Amino acid sequence: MILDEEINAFLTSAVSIMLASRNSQFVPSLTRAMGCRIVAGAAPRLRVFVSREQAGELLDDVSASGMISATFSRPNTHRALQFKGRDAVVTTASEQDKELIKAYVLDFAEVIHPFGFSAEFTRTFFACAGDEVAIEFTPSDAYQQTPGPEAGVRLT
Amino acid sequence: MSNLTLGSIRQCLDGQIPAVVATCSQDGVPNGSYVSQVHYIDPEHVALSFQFFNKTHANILANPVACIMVADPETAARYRLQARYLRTESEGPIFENLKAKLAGIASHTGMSGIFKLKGADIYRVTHVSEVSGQSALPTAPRRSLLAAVRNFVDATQRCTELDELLTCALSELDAQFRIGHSMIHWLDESGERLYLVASHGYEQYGAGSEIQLGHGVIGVAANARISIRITHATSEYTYSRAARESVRDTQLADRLEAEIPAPGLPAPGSQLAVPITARGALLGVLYVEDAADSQFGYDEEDALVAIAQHLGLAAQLLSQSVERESPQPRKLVQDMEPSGRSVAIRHYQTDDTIFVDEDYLIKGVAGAILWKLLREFQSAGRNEFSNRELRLDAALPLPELSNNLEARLILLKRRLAERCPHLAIENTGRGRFKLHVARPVKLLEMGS
Repeated sequence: MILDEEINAFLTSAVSIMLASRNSQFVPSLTRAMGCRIVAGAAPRLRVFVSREQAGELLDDVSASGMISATFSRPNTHRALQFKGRDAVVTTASEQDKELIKAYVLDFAEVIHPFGFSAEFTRTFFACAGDEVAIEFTPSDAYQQTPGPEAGVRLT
Repeated sequence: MSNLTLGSIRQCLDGQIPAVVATCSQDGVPNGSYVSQVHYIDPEHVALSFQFFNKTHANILANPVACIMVADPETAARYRLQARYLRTESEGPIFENLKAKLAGIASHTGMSGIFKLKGADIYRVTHVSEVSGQSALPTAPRRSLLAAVRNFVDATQRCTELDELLTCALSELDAQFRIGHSMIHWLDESGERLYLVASHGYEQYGAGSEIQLGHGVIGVAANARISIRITHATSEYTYSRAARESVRDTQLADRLEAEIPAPGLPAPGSQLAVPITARGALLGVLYVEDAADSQFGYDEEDALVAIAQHLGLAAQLLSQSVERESPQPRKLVQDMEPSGRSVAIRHYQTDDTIFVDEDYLIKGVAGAILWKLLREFQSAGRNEFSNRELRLDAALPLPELSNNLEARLILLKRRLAERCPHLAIENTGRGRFKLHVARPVKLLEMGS
């Protein structure tokens, strides 16, 4: 699917990112991601980052099934989009990725500061022991998730 | 962590940090979705608000397993709940509670009119785990709520009359819990309305202002017999609006009652309404509020529910002991002969409405009581009375609920103090009181 510039800008901004997968019994797993990069190509791929330890079962589930859902939500506008993929893989995070994560945490802290969360809170919220990994997938479907009657509508 | 339970992480379920729920379709496609509200039901169950027919709802109907992630707004710690969907409720206490809370959240987030509750999805939580490898901030030291409850119970159990009990309760809430705005409503004879008997921390005392069951946080709490706690309040559930809406009946007295200004903060951020019950019967509602958001958590709710139960039983015990009056009246203020210009007091038989000169004073049982007292005063010169003789008076429309007489006397006493300086009721001992009449009165029976 084609991601336009506006959507790219949204995905790579200070949005909240939640990843979901499932095991062979279709039991879902869930974790929070820290930032997103668009990997350009004939079919653009989304590259998102998680702490290996904090991600728990989700990494095993992604590795085993390739199935993933990534929900991007802007805390101050509630705009939300969900992308699904069937070819997700887990890879190591590069130095460049780790820089992106640092910038993401700072930007995110600014976005949620007006809601009463201190910079220290956001730092703690995203703190991890240097075990960041990347998950990369080709979006096969995307859905509108902003609360309201349009929620769940497929993006064309 | 082996001792981690749903109950120990309730503070994560107040919506400050949106929860996310992951589900999986029948054909193995995972789905993630933000949830406005994860409502704590008991140590094993939560309810999720179901507002739009979405993928989450469709998925759990086919594959009822879910993973929910919540976060502690103070420490930043995150937790995963493994849960199994049981059913969707579209009425009843849990639904009403979610609806009231959702209205608060919707307003807080600028989503009013968009959020509409379709149902409460009930889940059984099968496992709670902390996200491993995460960091967390220390928690700030907290006031001991158990110590506050202990002091509250100790102070209020000494009260010997309902009036004293209710007044003491609200001042103890301030002293022990630092809750500065509170009120108590009592259920009226019809069982359809609540009237204010005690308030604390407002410019207007508001004795007698009414709320219909089902209206506002107080009316919904009374109707559903559940405590309702709102962390981000909304005008839809604020007190004054509920009081206004309550008075849509066309009867004159009902409309007049609307003129009793309701106390209440103009824009409360936090609200908590707790039913006062005794042996399962609703007596009234204890309501507290604060201008700031998120002031009352789950623990404060537990504390106030315990307190309200104590108040209910204490009120019932007092009503059972009122027959035993104190043997001697207390030392009284000197009786004064009525003097000055006379006051016209009109009594409308239909609903026992009483006007003092041109001003509405009171109606219903309290109106009937005052009329009886004034007639006795006028015809026999009596000014000392007992609760017992009122209780035995077949002419008074007293309800079966025995403590309602005391509640009506409190209302009458406060209304007189607020609105009619010429008349006053003074307690002279348990189950005894005195009517003070400062000016000559002219009693006018207005017929039916």
